[in-house]
This record gives sequence, C-alpha cells and structure tokens, in this order.
Amino acid sequence: MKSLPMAEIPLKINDQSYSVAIDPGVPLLWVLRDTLHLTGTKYGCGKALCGCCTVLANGSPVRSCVTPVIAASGMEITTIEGLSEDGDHPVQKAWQEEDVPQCGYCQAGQILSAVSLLRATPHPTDEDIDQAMSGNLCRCGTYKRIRLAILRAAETTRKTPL
Amino acid sequence: MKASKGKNMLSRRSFLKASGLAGTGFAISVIFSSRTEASDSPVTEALEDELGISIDEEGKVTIRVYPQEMGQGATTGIAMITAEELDADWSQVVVEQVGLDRSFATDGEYYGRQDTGGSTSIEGEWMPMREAGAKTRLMLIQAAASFWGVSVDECDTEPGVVVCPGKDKRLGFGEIAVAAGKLPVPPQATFRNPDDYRIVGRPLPNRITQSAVRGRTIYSADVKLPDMEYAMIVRPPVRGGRLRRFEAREALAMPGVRSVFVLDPIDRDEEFCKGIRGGLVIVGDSTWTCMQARQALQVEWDDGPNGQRSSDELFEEFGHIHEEAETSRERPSTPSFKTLVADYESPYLAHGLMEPLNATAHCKPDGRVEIWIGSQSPHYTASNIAEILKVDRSLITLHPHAMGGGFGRRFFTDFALEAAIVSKKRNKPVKLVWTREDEVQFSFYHPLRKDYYRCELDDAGNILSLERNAYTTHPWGGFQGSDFCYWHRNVSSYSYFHEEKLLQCGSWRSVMPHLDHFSQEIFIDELAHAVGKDPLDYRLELLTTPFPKELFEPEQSSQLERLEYIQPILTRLHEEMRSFCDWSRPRPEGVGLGIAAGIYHSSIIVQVAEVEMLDGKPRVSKFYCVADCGLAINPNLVRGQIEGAILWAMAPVLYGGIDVTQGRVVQSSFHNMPIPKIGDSPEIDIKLINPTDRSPQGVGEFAVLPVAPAIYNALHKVSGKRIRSLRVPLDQVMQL
Repeated sequence: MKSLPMAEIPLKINDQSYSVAIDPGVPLLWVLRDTLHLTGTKYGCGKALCGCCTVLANGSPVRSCVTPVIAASGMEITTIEGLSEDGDHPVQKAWQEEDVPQCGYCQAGQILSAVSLLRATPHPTDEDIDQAMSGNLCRCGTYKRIRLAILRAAETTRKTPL
Repeated sequence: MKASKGKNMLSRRSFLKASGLAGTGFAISVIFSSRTEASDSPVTEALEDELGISIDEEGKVTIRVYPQEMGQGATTGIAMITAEELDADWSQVVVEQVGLDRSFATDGEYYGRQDTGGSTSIEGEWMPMREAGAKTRLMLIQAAASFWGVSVDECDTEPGVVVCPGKDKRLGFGEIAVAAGKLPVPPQATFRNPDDYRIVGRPLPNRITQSAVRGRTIYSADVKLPDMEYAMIVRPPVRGGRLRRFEAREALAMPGVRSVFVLDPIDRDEEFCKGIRGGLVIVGDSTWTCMQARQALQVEWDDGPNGQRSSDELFEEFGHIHEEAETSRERPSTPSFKTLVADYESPYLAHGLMEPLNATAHCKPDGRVEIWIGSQSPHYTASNIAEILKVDRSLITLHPHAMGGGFGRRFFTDFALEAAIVSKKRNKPVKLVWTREDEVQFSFYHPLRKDYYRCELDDAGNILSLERNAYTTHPWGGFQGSDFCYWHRNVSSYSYFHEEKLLQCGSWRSVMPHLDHFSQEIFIDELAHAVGKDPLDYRLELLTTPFPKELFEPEQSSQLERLEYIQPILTRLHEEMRSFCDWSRPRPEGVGLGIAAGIYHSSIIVQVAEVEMLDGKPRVSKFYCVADCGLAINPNLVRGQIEGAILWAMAPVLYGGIDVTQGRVVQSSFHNMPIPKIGDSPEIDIKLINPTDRSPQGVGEFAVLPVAPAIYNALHKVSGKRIRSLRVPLDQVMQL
C-alpha cells in the first residue's frame, strides 16, 4: 500500500478543533491514539471485527480502525473521553451501577455503541440490543451486565431522552 | 508453574514492618521473604511503593496489592480483605499496585508473590493481608489509648475511627496515624468476628469500573514516552521455521520507517518457553507506519520439519498410538456385562485477548532497563529479561499496568523479551506491538488432546473398572491436577505426552483441569444413560457411595483426606442444584437440561445448561450455577467471574478451535476465530453457597470447567446426539 502525501487535516473531536499533518489514509484510530494521545479508544483487530475502536461520528458508531482520517474530517467525532464531563452520562452511570467492566478494555466501544442504540431506539428489546451490540466483542464475557446496563439506562432516560 | 509457585509461597514467611512517613502518617509493609522459619532477622527495607498499607494525616488509606489485575477483580478483593481487618472506611481507601517486588533483586527466585495465575491470588493473600490489617488496626488503637490515657481494652474501632465509648472519645485514623507509626508492630492481633464484617461480603464494584467507563484505565498499550519508537515483528509462520531471505527496500523507503532488522530466535525451556520465535523487526514512528511497512516487506521462510504437518494429523496419530497401546495392554479377564468406551477430542485453543500483546521497554546506556507492561508475571518476566540481556537484576524496573485480558497468555514473557531486545538494539524506548493476527497465530495454546475412556459394568449396571487415557501435546499431561470423585475402585489413569513442537502450548483460563473435566463430565453422563438412570440421580448415587478406604494405601492418605473434604461439598451442590433449576420439572418440547460439575483447587461448582432446538439447530439458552468457593469476599465480583467464565468456555463449543495446516495456524482474527457475541449470551442464574467456615478460594477459573460438558449433555438430552469433540461448531454438530 502506498502512503499518500501528508496534508493538514482539520478534525473536530469532543468539541475541540485539531489540525493534524498526516497521510489522509491513516485510520482515525491511530491519529487518536498515537498522534493526539486520546487512548480511551482501543485497538482490537484493525478490521472492524471487534468494536474496541468504536467512536461516534455525527452520533453514529463507526469503527475508527478502518475509517481513514480524511473521512472523519468535517464530522463531529465523540470518543469516550468526550462523552461526558466526568463519567456522568446516563449510559456510563448505568455501566457503573451494574458494575459491567472486568478488564475494561472493550468497554469504551461498548458504551458508545449503546449510546447510539438508545438515541435511535430509546426502549430497545433484547433483539434490538443483540443486533446493535453484535459488533462489540467482550472476551471477559460481561454481556449479561451490558444488557442490564442498557435496559437500566433506557429506564433512567425515559423522561429525559439522550 | 502452579505447583512450584505454590511451594515457594509456602516456604516463605510474611514480615510486617512499620515506618513513619516523614511526619505525615504511617505505613506498614507486608514483605514475603524466602528466609527460613528459624531466622527472624529483619528483612530488607521496603521501598515506598511496596508498602502494604499506608495512612496519611487526612485519613486516606492506601492499600497496595501484589497480584496483578487482568479483569478477575482479585485486587479489589484483596483490598477489601485488608480494609476489613483494619476497619477502614471504604470510601477513604485507595487501591494501588505494588511496583516490581524488590525481593526480586536479592532473592534470585524465578517466580514471586506478584506473579498471578492459577486462581491463587485471594487464597494466597488472605492471611498475610488480614494480618497486616489487623495489626495496623491494633497499633492505631494502642496509639489512641495511650493518648487518652485509657487501656486498649476500653477502645474499639468504627470505620476509619478509633473510639473509646466509655469516655465518649473519637480519633480518626489520620489523626492518630503519626503516633501509631512510632509503635512497634505487635506480635499478635485478633481478627474481626465474621458476624461483624462491614466490607467483606458486600457486593462492591470492581475498582477498575470508575476509570474504565471513562476510558481512563491505562493499559500498557496506552503508554507513550518521549522519543519512543514503535516496533512490530514479522514472525516465521511455522514453529521452528527460519528466515531464508528478505527484501526491505520498499518498506525502508516509506515515510516514518526507521529500520528493518533480523531478530534471532531464542530457544529456551520447552515447558515455559522462556524464549522468543525471532523474525524480522520493523521499527517506525507509529503503529500504523509499522503495519504499512509490514505489507511492503518481502520475506521468504524456511519452514523446517513442521512445514508439512497439521493438527488433523495429530489427532490421527493419537488414535494410532492408542490402538497400539491397546494391543499390548493386558486387562484382568473379569467377566463384564457391558463395556462402555468413548473418546473425546479437544483442539488447540487460542485466547483472543481484547488487548493484543504489547510492551514498552527502555534499555538505557547506563545498563538500566525499564519496562512498561501488562503482565501476569512481573517477577518471572523481569527474571527472564535479566537472563537474556545479561543485566544485573537490580538494574531492572518494571511498571505493571492493567491488562486487557490475561487468561493465562500474559503469564508468558515472549512479548516482554522482544520489546527489551529491540530497545537495546535501538538504544531508545520502544513500544513493541502485536497485531490481532499475531495474537491468534503466535499464542501459547490450550493443548490439543484426545482422551479415551473405558468402563466395564456388571449386569446390574455397577462399575467394575474405569480406565482413562489422555494423549496430550503438553508436558503437564492429563488428570494430574483434578480430583476424580465419582468412583474409586479399579480406576486407572494413563497420561501420554506427545512431544511434538507444532505449536507452543501454555495456559488458557482454567488450564489442564478444563481438559480433564471435558471428557470426565461427559463420560459420567454417558454412564448414566448406559445404565438407564437420570444423570443427576446417578451422579448423587456415585458421590454418596461410601469410600473404599481400605483401597487407599497409607501414602495416599492426603489424597483420601482431600476426597473426604471435597466430596461432601460436591454432593451438596448437586442436591442444591436439583431444586435451584427445578430439575425434575418437565421442559417444553425441544428444550433439554444437561448437568456437569467442576473442581478447581477447592472451588467447586455444579452447572446445568439448558439447550433449546430452534429450526433443527441447538442454542444455549440458559445456565444455572450453584457454587461454593469458600467465603465470598465480594459476591458481585464472584458472580461476574462465573458469568464471564461461561462465555469464555462457550467459545470453542460455539465456534470450534484452532486448526493447523502445513505448519501454519489457519485462523487469524475474529472473522475465522469468532468469540461469543452478546446474542450468544445465555441467561445466567447463580446461587452462591458462601460458607463462612471455609476460607476464600479462587474464582477466576473454576466456572469454566463444566460449561462445555453441560452443554453437550443437554444437547444429548434434547436431541439424542452425543458430541465428544470441541472441534465442530455447535450449529454444525447436528450434521455429524
């Protein structure tokens, strides 16, 4: 694969503007992690198979490991660091109340996928959850609690939609 | 690994040492020393980051734990044990990880207290940390009593506070810490009454939760140092293969690529593979640069003798070896009514850690080596680095990090050695990164194994003899770490280690007992079926048959003692399970239950899997678990480990294992080595027995053991199909 010439790429991440001089074909994941040191977004497979690298682009979940940085330019990118001021987003709170994480590595991706699910489907069924979360793998096997946390967050946001 | 580590731990003593913290509080250290019982001389001064408990003037309590955190929650549990005896206010407790244990530099041992595996953390830290907590509490009481001019007996504690109820006096731990730190560590202290526990037994959250949901947990993958380079290694695809030639011009011309060089393999110690595979190192200015350069490299390998071999062939070989053994095996010609034989296959299995392996190393010009790593074995890792780099142990510093999964894989040290060697060569800090493909293809695999069972029954269905044979690719063999509780007369076990070097084998969550249980727990179900009995009734019948004590030789007394300890617990769990899952209630058409049990050290569990047939395909819909792991320090975390272990062990059931053809691992990432998704996750109901008269036991692995057999036993119940292999994905087994 040939690398492209460097370019100044404007990015908006967590409401903050950046300009990064980089090959436009570099996946957003590595710009976040290696260049901007926003390490809450994780590398898991590099092929959009595991969901560890999930971020929100204009509110929709994307796999940053296969998203060229140029494609993210002009979009509002939200990473786990920018989801809330201090972990108090309803989904993050539900995650804490159900004590979901074990090793924790995949959880940023899980949470961002759940946020997107609940925005589109405020009261998801089990099937909705299975479908929306199927791209986010967890080797610790925290799925039971992920489901409970999503249902809990859905309950708490019944009055105040996300 | 487990056995030798256990022995080291037993021969060690824990020493407590108190010290003032420069007028701002006090600290007490819990140091393990390998000195003999006879010596009571003081141990080496503890470094600040090795202090077990410190209390500052504000009353903040810092508890530092030795075992490593990989998601199993042990560090939370150990802190709870300590805080309980200290009677700390849990909201004032901060939990930290000890850095590299300084005894590392002086005692010369290969393994240490920090090395974490075999579900031993809670069990091993229970007494020393309780003692540290209890003695610290007593020192705080002594200091307060002397300040108030009252006797120690008149004082007590409430969380974080020393009180003297008679005189209506109170002093926070922080207020009295400096004075307490000047006292000698008392020789004795009494433990708190379990009825009064305020922290132990509470379902508190995992200490990692708060940071994890904010994306703030720092794994070694997140480490960044000034002037750091990134490195990746292209390894020979076949074990024992060598680099023939390579062409790196194109790669080297790419922007950001700094160097491409050959890394020689290091072969050392077959059992633990302290070596590395070698290959071609790419060094660049970012992870992505290395990944891109890798695509541009042209590499030719000499595959060596493994280049034509496959895992299918190994299963066949095991069959031949067994047939040969059968022809020469003489059995007493007792007349039997029925002979039941069955063979079971388990393929190589990889871990699929969500955080692929990585380590950052900095070999400095003055000879010092620093390493940032998520490792299950800091002590063992540093031992290996010292040996390979030929540096004095005192020059090594290791910064332990949270792990994005360990599951046995991160006990091994290859990735740390690679990082250290590359950094030394580059004279710079280097982050060595494995890709997902590397993680799947260069693992320390759960061994490939085939078991053969044979049982002779009389006409009433009684067992006359039972024989089991394990053919395995791991030197640890078969049946050695597991208790067989069902039958004790005429039982013979054989284990054959096939010394092949197709893949490197190692530990996979629950290690060898997983394979022992896989065959054993299905075979017991087969026996029940053969004699026409309900599987749960049959198990209880076997478990409650009186021991033939006369058959145990005097030298087997500890084995008998252990069985007498385990068997009643196992029996009780089966009885509990009967009502917990309402075993006898008829299930709807197309739904069946299967039962299996697991024993790992002294943690015991019985599981019932519910399998339903949907459009001719089986689906695991529910798991019931009844578990006794001794006193549950934190029921929330114990339940989490059981939930996670079920999903872990379902992976090969649902999706099969690792195949090798032409010496190469076929699978490479989650598309061809899937792991369970949320939609695969069954409903899980857990009952914890939580006995207060049994000390806490490990919970990281025991619940893995019965999962696959319980599912296959349920499948047999619902479909009549008997599956004895983890090689075929569940949605394909009906076509077998």
